[in-house]
Amino acid sequence: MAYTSLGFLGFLGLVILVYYLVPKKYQWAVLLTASYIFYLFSGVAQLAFILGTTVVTYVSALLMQKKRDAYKAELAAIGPDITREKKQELKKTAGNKIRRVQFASVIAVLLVLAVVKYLNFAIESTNTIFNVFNIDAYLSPVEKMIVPLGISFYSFQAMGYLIDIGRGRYAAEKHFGRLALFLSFFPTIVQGPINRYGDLGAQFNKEHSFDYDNLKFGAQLMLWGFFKKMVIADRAAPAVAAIFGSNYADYNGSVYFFGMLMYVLQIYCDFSGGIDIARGAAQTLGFNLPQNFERPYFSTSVADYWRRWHATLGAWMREYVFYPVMLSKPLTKISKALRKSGKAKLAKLVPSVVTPFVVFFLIGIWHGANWKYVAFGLYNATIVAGSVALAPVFKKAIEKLHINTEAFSWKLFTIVRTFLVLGISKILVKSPGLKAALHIIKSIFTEVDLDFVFGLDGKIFSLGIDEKNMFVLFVAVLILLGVSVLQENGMKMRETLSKQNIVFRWAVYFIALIFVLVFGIYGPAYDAADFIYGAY
Amino acid sequence: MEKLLEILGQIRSDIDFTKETTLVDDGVLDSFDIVSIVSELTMEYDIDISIDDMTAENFNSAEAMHEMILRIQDED
Repeated sequence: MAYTSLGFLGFLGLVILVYYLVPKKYQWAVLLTASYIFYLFSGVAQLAFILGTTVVTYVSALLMQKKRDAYKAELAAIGPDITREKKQELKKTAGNKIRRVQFASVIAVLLVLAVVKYLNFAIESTNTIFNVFNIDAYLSPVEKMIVPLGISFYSFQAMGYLIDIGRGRYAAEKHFGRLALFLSFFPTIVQGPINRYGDLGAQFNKEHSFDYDNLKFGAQLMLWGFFKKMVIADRAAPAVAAIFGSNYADYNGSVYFFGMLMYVLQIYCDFSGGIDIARGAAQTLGFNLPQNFERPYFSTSVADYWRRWHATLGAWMREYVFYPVMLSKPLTKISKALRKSGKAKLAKLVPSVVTPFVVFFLIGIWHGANWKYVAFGLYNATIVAGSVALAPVFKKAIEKLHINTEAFSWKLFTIVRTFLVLGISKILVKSPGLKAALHIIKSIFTEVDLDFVFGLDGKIFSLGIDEKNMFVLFVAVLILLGVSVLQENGMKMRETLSKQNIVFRWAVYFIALIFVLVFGIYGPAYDAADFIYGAY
Repeated sequence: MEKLLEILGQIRSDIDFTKETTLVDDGVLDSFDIVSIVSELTMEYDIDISIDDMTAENFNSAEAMHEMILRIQDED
């Protein structure tokens, strides 16, 4: 069931009604039932996967909790007279026991995800290696692989939860239903945001009374999401599909550049629009989900971008990959050895340079099983690690050239620069393959078609967005840009609007609704059902 | 504490570490700053900062970092 379908709106309406009518202690049950019904729409067989992960996660977390409780009980039994050695010994033994469960359970969850998403990629890559080395062997890929809805999202939440429990961040959830709800909560299951149990779990334990503001703000956020997804993303989609499709070789550098702009627009509006719908739907039920996007195209550096784009994935990576890798024994040893040999600067640099490669490699393959995603990850890692490593050089250059980094012009320059660097990285993702991507990127820098750039040949309107649609897209992008600038300057749009006079307020609601209804892209010709990130 | 402030000042001279109390929560420090801080503290105080110590609360202020260092030293 797509978030942009009428069916979903009806479903949500029904859930809201039942949710606020039942006694509050059963609200979780309403949500869990709704979430599993929503999930069933994607297939019965898929249900087995999410249930399996839920059971493994639930049992393992309780087991870790039991071991931690036993350790605490033992400490308490000995009392304050415990020797430091004894205390350390107990802590170490308990820690090892917990880590074993943590490791096994995370691997179990990860394995299912890896097999479903990456087995065929691994098989094909192995075949390529056989080919390169002239080995006479062939592995046949699995033809009908079931990829359960949102498997990346719920698996990441499950792993995060298991790691948190292992680290003793909070107590394991004893209530199976609530944990199952955390992993299947229907607004978040398709494309996130990726939640942490510490934030969302606590909200499941609370009773939620009907609140008009939540309903109103939630509905407004959903409408904004529909606007981004249906008016902008789905309108730009045909051009992206045409330019980066199998006939990509028919076009030149300037068309590719236009395609890049359209894709950058499409992917942001598709993904962040979907997240707005998810967060809005959750808010109508009284839930506050984390922000996933903070106007990423206003980023002044690639590192800044990754804090603003899909922020919950970034936070997940930071917590469960970046810090553990950085603090890992091999890296710490290398740093220490370098320091001892007097190379303090290099010692500092090593973790900051190595870690991004690990993180971005994972972010790359998280997006899909294909070498182009690996290239996408490594490209980002090189830029992030490179800018850390070269920071002193840049600083010196800025000083020598007397550049005022506080000036607006400098900020604008860094935003445009970052935008272009990211645009290139998105071509890596969108192109049919790595080879095509390299051809496209090269063409952008080497071929300029002035007739196309100035619209002299009218070709721009033959790429799937005709003149009328281009005009609507232009107006919609202006609205998006205007709102984004206001938000960037700290304005909270929905709160500001709610303080306006009733006539103005309702005029805005009405115009916005009509705008989306009239200019939203519907119908079978455009598959509005598909959210790009739904497949990740 | 003075030594800590000096170390922190060398990493991010633009921050007043005596005043800030939401360094992580408000995104004043990014993850690369945290990497530098952890790396420096590990060397300067000869302590092992483990992943269990990597919480926002431990890095939100200089005071919190100081307490963490003392606790780790005490446990060693």
